[in-house]
Amino acid sequence: MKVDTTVINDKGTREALGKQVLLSVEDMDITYGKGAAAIRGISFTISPGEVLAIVGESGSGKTSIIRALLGCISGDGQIAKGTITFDGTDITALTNEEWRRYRGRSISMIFQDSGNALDQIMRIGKQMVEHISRLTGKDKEAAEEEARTLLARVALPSDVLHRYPFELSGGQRQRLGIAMAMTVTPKLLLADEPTSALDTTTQAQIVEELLRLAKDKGTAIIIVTHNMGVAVHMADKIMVMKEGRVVDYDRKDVIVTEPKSEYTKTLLAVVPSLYGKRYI
Amino acid sequence: MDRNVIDSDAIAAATPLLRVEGLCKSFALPGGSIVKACDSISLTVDEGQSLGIVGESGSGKTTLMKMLMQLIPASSGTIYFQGHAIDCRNKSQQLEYHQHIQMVFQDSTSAFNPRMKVADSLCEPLYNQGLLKGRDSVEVAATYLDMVELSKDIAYRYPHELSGGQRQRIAIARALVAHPDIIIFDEATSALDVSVQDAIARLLVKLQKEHGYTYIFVAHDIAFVRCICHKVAVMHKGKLVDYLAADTLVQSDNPYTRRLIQSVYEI
Repeated sequence: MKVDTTVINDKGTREALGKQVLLSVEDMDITYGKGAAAIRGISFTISPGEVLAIVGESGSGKTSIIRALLGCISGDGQIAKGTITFDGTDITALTNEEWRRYRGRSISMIFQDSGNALDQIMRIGKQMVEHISRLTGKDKEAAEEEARTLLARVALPSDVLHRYPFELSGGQRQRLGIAMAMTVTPKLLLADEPTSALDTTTQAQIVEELLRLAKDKGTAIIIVTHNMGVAVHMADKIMVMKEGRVVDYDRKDVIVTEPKSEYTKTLLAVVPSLYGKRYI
Repeated sequence: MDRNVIDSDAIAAATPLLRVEGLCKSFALPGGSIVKACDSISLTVDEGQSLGIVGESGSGKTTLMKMLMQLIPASSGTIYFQGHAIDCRNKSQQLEYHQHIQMVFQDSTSAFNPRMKVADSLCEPLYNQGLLKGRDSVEVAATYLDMVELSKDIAYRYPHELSGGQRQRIAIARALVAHPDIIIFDEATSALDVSVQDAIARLLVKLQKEHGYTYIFVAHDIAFVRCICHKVAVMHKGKLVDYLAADTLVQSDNPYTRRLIQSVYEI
């Protein structure tokens, strides 16, 4: 589904145009401890099937934002101001019990090292079956069949089911994490640097799989990356962050052709290219 | 593999700084089968130039580098440094060879002793070779921190107090301290932000132009390698499948190289 994003950040106009908004974040601040807000004045919207890329350097606050969307900001961080409306519900004030209904079902997350979230001393098959039957209620056999399908989608052989997580390479573990995040087709998929640790060939495969999810199943995707190349390839909209603030937020073609901030220009210029300028 | 490219290179530089011939490394697996991590690799590195080695995880890049560093012995094949074969059993020759070659690793966190201040870590190669007494360390550290464009104050800090980019610069400085001829970068910038990678790439090229260092870059990002290297070697499943000048990389007709090229997202 291609969404017209001519008027970005203007919820009223979008609704007038009949565009459905899945998630809308308005003027959000995140603070850690008693300090000043680490993230300030974040506003964006995303529609079903749309891909938003959040780009910025380490420490710019990308991860904090998507963690806020899943209600799991790390440490003593909290949302100090603003609202997050997901599917018509304000999710900033949910209890842990209520959050459990969203996580893994409506909103899924792929972490940068998602393979490390697995139990290292339990066979992968058992973990996947447990995960699938908890979310879908399928019996063991059906869940195992589902696990094989999921593995095939991320190009992993099905004998992975009989192995332990530590026996896989970093790239394989990451693909496994991605497969598990896709168990139940989520309405919103949050991906935190999902391909940064992978080979470029594996990255390309994962990127295509994620795009297919958005196109065929209408899953909205928010991908956090420092790779402008990936962001431009995947996203409909790009949000560029620096030091906890948004410095650029627009349609991808606008970001590429006429970026507003100097910082975005720098980010675009430093991506290594096969055809462009060389250092030597 | 285009043999003509290699031959013409060999003629151009009569004695390359480093030459590798038919280098193999096999590992025995628990089941009794043998995996060939490196299968007859032959290449040359010319003085003051950069060679890039590209390949996916498991292609044997790191095994090759470990053999070049003499951290593991080769199963067969020879490494020639300045025209002389390196004998892996001759300890004194090995020690001398190690003064000419240094390595910078991907993970800068684990590359430093967390209980040593930056100045001490930086000067450790010199202590090991008996070239420095304790008191001069701050002065030496200041010189090399300046070379990698860091402030002198960093000498008194601990590794955990620094950013990833700063730590990687210090790892580079530590490699420079030993006055090597060759520096190997094993995925040294792949964990860094693109803008930090850009800054470090510029720094390395500047240092190469000023001091004539020879670099070997091991990376999976073929676009980055093209940008920073003179020659590129492509490895796949332990074999060298392509070996060509970086500016002709995009014209390569090797199917595997083409696959790597296609996986790069251009803006």
